[in-house]
Amino acid sequence: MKYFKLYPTVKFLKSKNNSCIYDFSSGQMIKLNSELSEILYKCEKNEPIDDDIKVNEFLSTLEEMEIGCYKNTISYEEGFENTMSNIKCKMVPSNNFINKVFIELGSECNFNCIFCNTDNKLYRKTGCKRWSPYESKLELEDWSKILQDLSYLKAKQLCFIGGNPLLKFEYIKEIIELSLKYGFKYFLIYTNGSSINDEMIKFFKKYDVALNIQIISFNKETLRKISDKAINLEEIENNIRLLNNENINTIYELLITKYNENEIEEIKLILKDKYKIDSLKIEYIHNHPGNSHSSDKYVNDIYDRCSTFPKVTSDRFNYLQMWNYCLKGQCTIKENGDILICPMLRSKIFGNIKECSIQEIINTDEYQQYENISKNSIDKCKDCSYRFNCSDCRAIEISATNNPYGLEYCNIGE
Amino acid sequence: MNKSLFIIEFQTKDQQYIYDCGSSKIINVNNKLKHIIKNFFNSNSEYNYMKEVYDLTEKEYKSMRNYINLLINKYNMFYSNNSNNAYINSNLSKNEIQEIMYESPISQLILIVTNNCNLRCEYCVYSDKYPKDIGYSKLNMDFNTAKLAIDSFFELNKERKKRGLNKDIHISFYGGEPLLNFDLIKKSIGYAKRINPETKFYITTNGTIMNDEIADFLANNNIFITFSLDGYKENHDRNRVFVNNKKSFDMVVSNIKKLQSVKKSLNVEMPITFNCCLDSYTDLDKVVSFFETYYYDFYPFFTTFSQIKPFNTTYYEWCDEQYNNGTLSLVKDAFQDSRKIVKNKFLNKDISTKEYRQVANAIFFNELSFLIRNRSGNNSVLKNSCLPLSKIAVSPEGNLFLCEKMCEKFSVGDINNGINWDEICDVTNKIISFFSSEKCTTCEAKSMCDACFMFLEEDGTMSKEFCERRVKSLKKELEDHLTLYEEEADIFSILNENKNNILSISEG
Repeated sequence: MKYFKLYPTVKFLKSKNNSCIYDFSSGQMIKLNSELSEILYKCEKNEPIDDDIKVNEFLSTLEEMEIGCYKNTISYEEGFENTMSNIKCKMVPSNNFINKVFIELGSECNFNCIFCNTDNKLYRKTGCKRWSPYESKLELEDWSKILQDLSYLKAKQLCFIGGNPLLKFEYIKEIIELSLKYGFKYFLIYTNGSSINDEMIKFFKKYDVALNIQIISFNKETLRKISDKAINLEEIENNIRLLNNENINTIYELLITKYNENEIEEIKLILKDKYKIDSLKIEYIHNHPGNSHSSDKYVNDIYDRCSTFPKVTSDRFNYLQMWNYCLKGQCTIKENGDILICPMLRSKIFGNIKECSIQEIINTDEYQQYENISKNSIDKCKDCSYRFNCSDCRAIEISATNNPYGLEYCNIGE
Repeated sequence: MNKSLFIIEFQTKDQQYIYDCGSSKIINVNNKLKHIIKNFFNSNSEYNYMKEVYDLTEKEYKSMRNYINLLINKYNMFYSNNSNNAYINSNLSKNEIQEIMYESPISQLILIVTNNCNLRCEYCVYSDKYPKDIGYSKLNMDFNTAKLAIDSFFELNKERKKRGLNKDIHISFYGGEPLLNFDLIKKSIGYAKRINPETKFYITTNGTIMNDEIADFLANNNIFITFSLDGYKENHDRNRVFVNNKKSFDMVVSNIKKLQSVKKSLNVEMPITFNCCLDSYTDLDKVVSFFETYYYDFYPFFTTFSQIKPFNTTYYEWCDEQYNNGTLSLVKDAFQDSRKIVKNKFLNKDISTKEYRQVANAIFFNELSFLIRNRSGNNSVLKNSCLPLSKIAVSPEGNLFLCEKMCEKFSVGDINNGINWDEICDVTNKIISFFSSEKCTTCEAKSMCDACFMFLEEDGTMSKEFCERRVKSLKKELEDHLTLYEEEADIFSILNENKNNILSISEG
């Protein structure tokens, strides 16, 4: 009798829709079809191996990949990673915490992009977006208490988002300077590439502030089509040069819409050749019955999850069993004091910072419910074996499905 | 790299395993793999040697060698003692310790409301079988002491809430027999509820004092009650006796039934807990069967089983004496033998009732702790010990201690002067330096050790008896765990069957 066992350094997950092997030592995720999955499942259950060429070919491949080996007897192997992190999280209590704080500075923007609706409907993931106007109510002295409370919860990162938050640079400056005394270290501003001046650059350098800049086009004609408020291309290009020269930590994000869908390769080339920018985040205006701005050409990419899987890590594997990858440890404070969990998830306001403390707000059952939307609880994900190496944007999914546990933008299993 | 092996070899009926002491990872091995591991850094693990001894092909050898190479070089197993050296020789400052304490995810105040008891249990830490610990006295806590303790506890919780505390805060009443000071309990609960209505209350009692007033109060205030009940009559009565040596079983069982029926009439569904003490003479199957028989009289309940503390005591010698002179009819090794029976019944639905399995559940609950144990080798600075002041025990006189079970070892302040930070720092730094000491970091049991303040000696060493016992029992424990998993026992789903355990409670 011959048997086959996977090494404890890997984990085989067989779910209703598909199966895969997580190899924690190489970082690979090995997808298996149902036939191979069945073979491996039997092996893991200690059933003897059939004398079949195909079976042995497959198992020999796994052996060559050094993720398992033949055995002469039945054996039991305890994996190094466990699939019970959710139980662990229940049995071993831990405090609430905040990692990342979004501060939304109003809803104004100097652009008027055609695809950027100003209501609360959502067609894009975290980034540039105008919202219905609202009145700012938080003063600097409010921020002092808020930042102190956040620091008790171990928060270290502030992300400014808008509208275009750089229109309120003075305010950003004051909050960042104030936050230093509460131990904040990481700062990020979401902006559109315009309205950057030398004073800002000096400030970004001094406090190591990073920027997330959205690129929509390098074509004047396209820009004119996109925004009726003039977008000054020279200014944006100058700013990119300036940020480059001054070594400001900048993430460039390309937003794909139906207006720039034929320029994508060209934009990538310009960024690469002209500005030496290799790494580019791709975002989309998502297709949705209520929205006509998404790109048909790239619609498959919106649904494609497999090509964006990162390397398998045991940290992510464990984290995704317990919590939502993005929402756990995150909060958003609007300039009027409203608390959201994610700046893009507008359907749920958890309270107002003028009325209760951030500690009380994040300890409510509702807030915890969102933080705990793990991959095991999302309807479509729980039957998918890739779930512990995959993240999804709750905001865009909830917007599309009207369900906190819904999932629209995924084509796995189809 | 330190090239000495840091492993435990163990085996079950058919399998051989290696336990990596640095991380607590376990791998299945055969003689060849074992040979490669042990000789990895010398020529005896080269192919020519292996071929001669084990007659294996070069391909087989390569695959094995690569596997072990991965475990040694990528996972730092077998040879590497990844001890967490960060805190070696560095005493934590008052601020750091304060912060650790404020960040505790658990917050519990334990009021030891009396040193008096109407029972004289043979294994009680107050008894003369524990010569190092304090004895019984008539000392009761007064309300002023309780009030001050509750006030400062709520102050402390404000700091904890700021740092994200999300669990309920607990006030427990402990003794002696706490219900001997029932008036104080009543007043304290009323007082604490007025300040914080969310507080949860716990009482651990011997179950001998339960008049109508007490039963009504306990039921009406949703108090978690833990009864000390050691299962079947003979097992309970051989140890749990009144001052006049009268046995307590019948009275306790009748009182529990009384409380549960009062609760039923009031529609109170709060479960009760049994703390069931065991020693090597206890027949576990009989204990479980006892609770099975009384299942619906006691319902809803769950049982916890604890082994009678074997340290600094003459209890076990006394038991042996009883056995040898036949004073009590005891069966030697009854526990070991009956545990096998319980395990069998627990795993086999055909030979046990649902009720039996739900009681036995608790015995296997530690399997879950084993399954979810940290296998990374990175332990926190206090390892598995409670964080200092996550629990605060207050003696009847108003002295503060780290644990109700420590019998006044390491006083860390008093209610009038508050927490003594010098004492806290001293005792915390003592345990941290022990955990960073060579004795602890090179100990085979270090990754699966539950050493805590309770076993810390005043000179900063860990109880020698504790350490020896921990190391000695580890191999047997590993064998037991792995035997269970080899049988493909789906521990988790069986545990999940019981709706009165921690899993379902936290799910609800």
